Amino acid sequence: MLVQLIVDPDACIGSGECVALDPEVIELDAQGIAQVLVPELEEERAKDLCDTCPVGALSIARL
Amino acid sequence: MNDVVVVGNGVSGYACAARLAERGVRVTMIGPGLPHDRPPLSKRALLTGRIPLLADDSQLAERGISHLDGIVIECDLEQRRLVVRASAANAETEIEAPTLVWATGLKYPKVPIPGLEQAEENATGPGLTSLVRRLATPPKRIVVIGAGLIGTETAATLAAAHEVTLLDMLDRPLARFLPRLSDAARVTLDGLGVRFFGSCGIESAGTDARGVVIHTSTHGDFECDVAVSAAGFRSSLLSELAGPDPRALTIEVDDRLRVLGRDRIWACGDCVSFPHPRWGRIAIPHWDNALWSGRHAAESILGSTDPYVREPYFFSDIGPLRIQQVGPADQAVEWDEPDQGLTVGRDSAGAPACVLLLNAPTRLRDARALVASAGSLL
Repeated sequence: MLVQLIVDPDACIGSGECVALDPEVIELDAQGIAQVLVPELEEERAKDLCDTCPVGALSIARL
Repeated sequence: MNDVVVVGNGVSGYACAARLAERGVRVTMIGPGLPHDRPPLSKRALLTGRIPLLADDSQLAERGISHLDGIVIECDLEQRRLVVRASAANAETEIEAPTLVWATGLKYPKVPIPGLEQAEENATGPGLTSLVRRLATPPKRIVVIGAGLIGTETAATLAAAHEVTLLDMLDRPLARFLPRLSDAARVTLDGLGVRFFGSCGIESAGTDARGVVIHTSTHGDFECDVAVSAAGFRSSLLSELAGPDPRALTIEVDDRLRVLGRDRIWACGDCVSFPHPRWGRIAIPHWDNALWSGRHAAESILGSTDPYVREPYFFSDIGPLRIQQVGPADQAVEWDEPDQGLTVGRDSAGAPACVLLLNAPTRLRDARALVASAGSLL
């Protein structure tokens, strides 16, 4: 199933964990805040990214 | 009847329980309160007062994880029975654990100095709640005791709204880390207005008309409204698991995170040491290892024979300073010149052993690849 990945910019600490895990999907902007690069992605892939964030700044929205 | 019982509900225990439940295993997780993250308690949680839960009751139910709110006070490893004291009532329950995962992390007791038993702490959920309540009307005069990771992060975070003093018996903040990290932390603390006093002989603490007073043999008295204890950690292991050395902080596991000498007992997170193929037996008390070893223990229980080979890694936010380190710094004998925030430490053979990142989170992937490539050549 395809889902949308959402970043809470206030929560993001820019640890880079998500980028290290899946750089095709997410990157850090100049301020070190995560930016999602794709409009949608497989739920499993999104879940792995959510799970790897140390501060819970990533979440999933169902399309 | 449970298939697996996970003792501990921090990052590692929850990661293990969640992965097992996802794969259809009946899993019970035992731990006080709802599972919550601990390292961020020195950062955002301190500003907001909200404990970062990993899952609430409904999410646990949705994921198929049974949660027993309490702590294990006894375990019979031969009979596979645990005695659990429930948090809500002072009642004890006995449960069977045919397969057991130990993930109780470390304990963060108050600094053992007379009077400091009354100090606040923010290494635990209840501690954070109590501290945030005390700080409700800023500005307060705060003394943080202990300039390790938690103390330094705490001081930097609180400096936004309070007058903060940071004390340590060692001569610099983050003294157990590389000098260049200490230097960067010191500059950052100065910029945030945190007063740091190193080589500080703290003797006792008390309360009088001035507020809380920290007495030292080296720097006189420090007066404050709130003292925060943030130094040191201890083992959380029950004697049945601790082995012959009561000072041991960790359980020894094999490369699949199985407890040595025990059948069907796994351990993960801060409370284990594991045999790393390049670095030998190591313990990594950090969020990253907690998460990945928790998941790995679950896969191992499910039959995976893959070894656990996660590189040592930690990150820390000290106000605007972001520190990340991949690989063990003590294995580096020489360091390259810094390159765009990334500094490579090399072992005696010249191979990358450790990479330090200062305010360069976008290069974490490069750092991991450098250390991993050297390891793969062994």
